[in-house]
Amino acid sequence: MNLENGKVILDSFRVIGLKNSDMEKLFAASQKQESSFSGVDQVIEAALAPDSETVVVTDAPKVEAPVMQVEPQSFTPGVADTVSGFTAQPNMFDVPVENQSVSEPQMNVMPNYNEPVFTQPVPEQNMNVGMTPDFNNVYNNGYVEDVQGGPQVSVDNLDTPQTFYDRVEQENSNQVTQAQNDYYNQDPAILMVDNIKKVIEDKNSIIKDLSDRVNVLENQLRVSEEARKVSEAQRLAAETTLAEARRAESMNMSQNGPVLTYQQQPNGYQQAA
Amino acid sequence: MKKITVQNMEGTMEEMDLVNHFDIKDINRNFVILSKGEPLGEGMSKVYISEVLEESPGVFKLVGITDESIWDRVKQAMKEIVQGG
Repeated sequence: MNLENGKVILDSFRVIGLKNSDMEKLFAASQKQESSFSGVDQVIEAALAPDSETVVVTDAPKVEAPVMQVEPQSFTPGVADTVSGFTAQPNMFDVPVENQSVSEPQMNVMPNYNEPVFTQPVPEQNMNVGMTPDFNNVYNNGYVEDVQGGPQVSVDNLDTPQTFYDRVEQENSNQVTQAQNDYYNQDPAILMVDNIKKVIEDKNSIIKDLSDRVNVLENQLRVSEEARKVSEAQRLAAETTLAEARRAESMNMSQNGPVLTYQQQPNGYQQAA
Repeated sequence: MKKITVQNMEGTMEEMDLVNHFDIKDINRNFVILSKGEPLGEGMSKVYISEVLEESPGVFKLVGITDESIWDRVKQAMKEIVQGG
């Protein structure tokens, strides 16, 4: 019988539950038969001789339970549709929830210090400095009455080109430093709170789905329990009926005496058995 | 475990583990134990047991064991194989 190379058609079968260790022994015996014996019969005949009680072979129902299609779950926090579409496994509560693949959103709570500080809006100096045709004259006299349509500039506000440049640089630097400090002091907290809120919302969504699933399973359990009670009642009724029938038969026997059966004898007479 | 390709009841081809096959000589029947690696409770697996009928050379049909006395013999044989192994 060469099943490996022939065409095998499964028409019907019996299903039993077998210990994994026993299954391995069966397979090992199969290998042994092939390697050590020319035929299988000898092994089986030898094996069938003594009585044995040790191996447990458990009958399982012939009707197979419907197979539940279980798909691997992946929760993606922040995507509500994925979580609501979650289909629980039959034994999902055997697995700690922590082992579920839940990818939390990445929390970037610290700002990137390498970012150029000038990404912050820095108001530019709006400088409207009227340059006079004769700068030295203006500086020395301290006053300009008419600068060809330009603004009136007092001497106190005038700088040399170098001091003006240094002053503007210093002001810009102060403003940028202040803006940078504000960014560091406020934004990380805001980011952290936002991320924590998102994680909490996702967890709540998962918990709600699990709770819904628990409710469904509890309902199924109640239905099964009711069915079991009905079956139990039917069984009791059947037992009662059977007991009554036996009692009635027993009474009938005691009232009518033993029932004789007859065997046909070769001589044509009947003889009580 | 050895694999064999089986045409299942839906007509599709399916690969199954060949756990063991044996015959019981005094009733002159062959039997096969197959598995699909399906767990059945703790430490147990579901196995499929059928009688093997060779319909034509190289074509084997696996049929269920309906006779309880034959089924008892098959179970006993399995027990003995496990013990002997």
